[in-house]
Amino acid sequence: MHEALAKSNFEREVANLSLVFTRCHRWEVNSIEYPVVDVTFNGTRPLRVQLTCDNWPELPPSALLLMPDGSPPVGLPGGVFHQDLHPTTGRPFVCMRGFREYHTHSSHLTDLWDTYRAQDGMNVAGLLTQLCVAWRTQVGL
Amino acid sequence: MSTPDASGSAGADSENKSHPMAIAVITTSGVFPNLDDYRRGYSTEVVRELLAAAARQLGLTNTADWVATVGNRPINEAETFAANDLYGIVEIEWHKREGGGGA
Repeated sequence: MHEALAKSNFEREVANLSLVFTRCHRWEVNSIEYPVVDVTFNGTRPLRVQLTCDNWPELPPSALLLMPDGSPPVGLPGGVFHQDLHPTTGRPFVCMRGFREYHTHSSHLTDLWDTYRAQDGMNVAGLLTQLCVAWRTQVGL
Repeated sequence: MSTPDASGSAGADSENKSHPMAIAVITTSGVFPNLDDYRRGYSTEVVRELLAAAARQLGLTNTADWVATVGNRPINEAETFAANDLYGIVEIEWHKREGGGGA
């Protein structure tokens, strides 16, 4: 995808991360700079996520899980949050449809991103919301 | 849009009365009616009807697997705001249900 088009797509996506939206979800936006959205889900156990959206929406976004201070995550709860290392990135990863690490994992290579990417709610804000709900369901509000 | 004070209950006796409300639907594709205001409505209104209006305005066409919550509490879209114990100023979070996973 042409870089300018990818950046334009990205800018349109992050426009959904309004102050009203992030306040309602109790997120802190650390930075938004193409192609990365860096947010922290606040709560009893905050989680920081750096979502890389290069070539959006041709590629699903890649999620880097972090502690709020930017250090590597410890004690991920399981479910879609894998403390073990992804075979490609070598890092803990999110295993949920819509995220690059899921679709590139050997267990899900036949579950294609193309199946999901046009669905309502599978945009950048939607994927972050799903991830946040999964996190808070696992660790508490 | 200012932060609402509360969405407190008006009591069981109020369920059949029509109370004025101010409602926003906050979705992953935008905010209904807009970022600066609430939609006026009534406690006897069915939640699903408001969500349908939000979907029309925001261009959402497939929300069959979406969930609506208020303050992290799931609400019943088929019921009225009153039946969901929602009164006053209400912000509904509405989004696609999270996917499962596991490698």
